[in-house]
Amino acid sequence: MKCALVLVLCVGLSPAYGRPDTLTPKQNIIYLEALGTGGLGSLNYERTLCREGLWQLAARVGVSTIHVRDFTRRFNPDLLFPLGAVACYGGRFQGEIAGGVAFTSIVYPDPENFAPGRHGAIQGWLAIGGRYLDPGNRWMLRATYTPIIEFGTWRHWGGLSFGHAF
Amino acid sequence: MLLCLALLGACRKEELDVQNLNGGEVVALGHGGMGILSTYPLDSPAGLLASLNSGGDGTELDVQLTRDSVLVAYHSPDLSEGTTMSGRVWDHTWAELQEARFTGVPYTDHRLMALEQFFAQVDVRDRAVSLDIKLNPSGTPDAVYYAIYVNALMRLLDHGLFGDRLYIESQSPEFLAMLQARRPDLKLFIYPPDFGTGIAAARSLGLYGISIDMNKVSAEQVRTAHAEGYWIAVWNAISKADNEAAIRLHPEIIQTDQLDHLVGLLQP
Repeated sequence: MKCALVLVLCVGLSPAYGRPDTLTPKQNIIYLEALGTGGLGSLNYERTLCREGLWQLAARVGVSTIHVRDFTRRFNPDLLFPLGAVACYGGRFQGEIAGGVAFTSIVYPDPENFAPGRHGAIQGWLAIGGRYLDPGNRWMLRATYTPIIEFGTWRHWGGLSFGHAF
Repeated sequence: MLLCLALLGACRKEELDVQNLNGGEVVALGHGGMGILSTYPLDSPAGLLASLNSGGDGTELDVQLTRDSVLVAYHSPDLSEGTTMSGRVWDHTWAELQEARFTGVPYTDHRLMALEQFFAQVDVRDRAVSLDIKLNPSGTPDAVYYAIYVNALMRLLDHGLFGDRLYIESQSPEFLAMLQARRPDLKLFIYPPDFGTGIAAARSLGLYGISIDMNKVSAEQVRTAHAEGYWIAVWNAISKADNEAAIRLHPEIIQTDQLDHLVGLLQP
């Protein structure tokens, strides 16, 4: 967590942060996030919806799981779908603030008979951090502090992402 | 190539040729379900069920007593170490503890369980179960606290929910003596700080065995215990290498954090 925060600060406070450059913006990014809004990790797609100067607004949707087989060892995956809105500012180095919800469908033992039962929930998440796009504008590195608002409580969390812009 | 493979197989077979008091069979138990590295919380119903469905022999679980004499599965001395609540289990009633949520993987909602409710629904009569009795400081005089605890255990055992592979381990010889006085047929294990203390307690009380950190016992000491008829349960097998090292101690029971690996190792 400390490493993630240091990385966030390094990216966010970099001299190059916010500096205009000649990047040709790409509309889409697909990226893997370790930890982060998906819990243990997620595969995400982000699409830029609009740009205004160095500002851009995007929507993201992801998919994640915790267990593919339930506790009876049958295929019965937990499913998590983090989705939300992302605001970024900058050129090659960007600051980011984002928020959204995670739709979760997780398999638990039923409290009465301990048989597998699927429970759905909607939780919240926020993200603040930074991202770096390579000079070719094809690859993205991203580090975020990602608090999760679950069951009415605040959990400190963070994420590291690597993705491809296209 | 075939010769090499044959030699490798022979080495492995020799390595797993366990000499113990259980006919060479090692009882493979998950530590608190699927262990400390699992995405299921330690002692959670899901973790314990995953362990029972693993192909292993069963599971170990940690037991604590609530203020209203309900036995619950939980490992740490304080609830804040693994749940959304704080304080000792003994400070709360079962009704209060039902509000506690394990803090493990984000977005998950695993809850504590009462042993009686769990084992009334999950048939373990043909499985191995090891109950690690946690006697955390209660603020109540030990004799009174232990008596309440023993009564709660007797109520649980009287339901006939366990088979003959129920093992009960405790760090307290006094507690084990109280249990033994009520039920001499129980398979009781002392959980000592070192082997010497353990075998002394086993001799003194006539216990079934010793449950000990695998890093605090040698194969020679295990042989000594076996010579006197005591079973050895080892724990703290966190890695796959630990599993292999634990087998080389020739114990009767291994409580592991890598249950799937251990089950694979022990398969004929």
